[in-house]
Amino acid sequence: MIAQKWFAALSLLAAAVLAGCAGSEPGRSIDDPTNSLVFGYVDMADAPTKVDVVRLRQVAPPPPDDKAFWRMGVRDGMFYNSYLPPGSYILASLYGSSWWRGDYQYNFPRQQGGGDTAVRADKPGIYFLGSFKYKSVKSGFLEAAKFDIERVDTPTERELLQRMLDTDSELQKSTWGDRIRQRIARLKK
Amino acid sequence: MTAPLRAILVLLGAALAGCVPAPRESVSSMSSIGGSEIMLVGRVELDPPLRKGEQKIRGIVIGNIENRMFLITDEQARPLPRDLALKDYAGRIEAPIGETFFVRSGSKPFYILGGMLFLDIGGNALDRAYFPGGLRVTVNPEDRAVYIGTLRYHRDEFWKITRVVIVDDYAAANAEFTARFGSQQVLRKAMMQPVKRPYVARAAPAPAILPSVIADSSPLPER
Repeated sequence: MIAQKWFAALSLLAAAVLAGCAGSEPGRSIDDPTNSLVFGYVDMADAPTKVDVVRLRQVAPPPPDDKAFWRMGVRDGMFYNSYLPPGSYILASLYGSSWWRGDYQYNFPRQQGGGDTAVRADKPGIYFLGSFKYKSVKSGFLEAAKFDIERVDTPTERELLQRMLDTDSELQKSTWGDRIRQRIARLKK
Repeated sequence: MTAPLRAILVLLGAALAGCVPAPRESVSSMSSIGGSEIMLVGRVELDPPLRKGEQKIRGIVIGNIENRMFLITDEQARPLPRDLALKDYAGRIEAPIGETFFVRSGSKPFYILGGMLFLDIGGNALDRAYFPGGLRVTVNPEDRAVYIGTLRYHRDEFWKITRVVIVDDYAAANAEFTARFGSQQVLRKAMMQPVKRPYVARAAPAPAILPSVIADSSPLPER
């Protein structure tokens, strides 16, 4: 069991490291003009674990089953993917691991109604899902554990974009660098 | 989650499934309809329909849920509960999506509170979509067979219910009814009616299931 935990933890760590390379998706260049950048932030202070991996589910155009999920890079709660093709996406799940509590998977329902954690990125661009905070929810006996996330005001879209530029040199050197700076300039007005 | 714990939960789940109240039973002959019963005829449609692979049923799942919407009913009008309790499943209509259903029913009027469809079930997964209701079904003790209409839900890619329409497909339903059960019985048309008008749902109820936490990660394929 311990070995399994180690293996799972190492796998998650490796995945998180790989996911940090937000422009390295095989088959799509980070400079592809059809790319969209989708990003957000989640504060997991009240969760059993921090978040290591975030996955988006593509819901339109309908992808094949084995191509429905897109991994997002995670840095201190900020998550993003800069090579998403045009389509509609929902936040599908968060993964986290802690030595004491083991591995956790936080799943979102598919019926999100186009709300807070869904985005229609039908044109290439920068899409901010929002900043969220994890909230525990009491569940009944024999009931699956539940959680909720609530929208919070900080960090703001501008702060997160700046953080992306400051911490991801690959993104900064790509065509995203200028586009993000332009967006930040617009948000400052 | 350890294997023994998983096994215990599966057994408990199976035991609980045994306690789930019965749905309105599908009818194969008019002669099986008792004196205080009627046959209810109707249909549920999804637009766009379920795509192949959009509903995921894994492992052993008790009950027939594939391509079926559960219409939750009650004799009292009330909102569809945020979390369905076992008792809420009593008298549900398990409607095969896109097909006419023929089910046994009591002869008292009742309400369709809303619909529920399993999107993902089995293993660690449980994900459902909910559909607005608030429809009154008017039946009379003297009825033998009643047609209530087609409930058509329009949805977007996020499973937001963008429009609900009650369609009168009586001619087609009556032809199917006659082919199955003969022409001895009359299929009376009594379309389901919204409790409040106009009945165009702007949205499905807030997700009735909160995001879930699973203390075991088993990532799905991704790119």
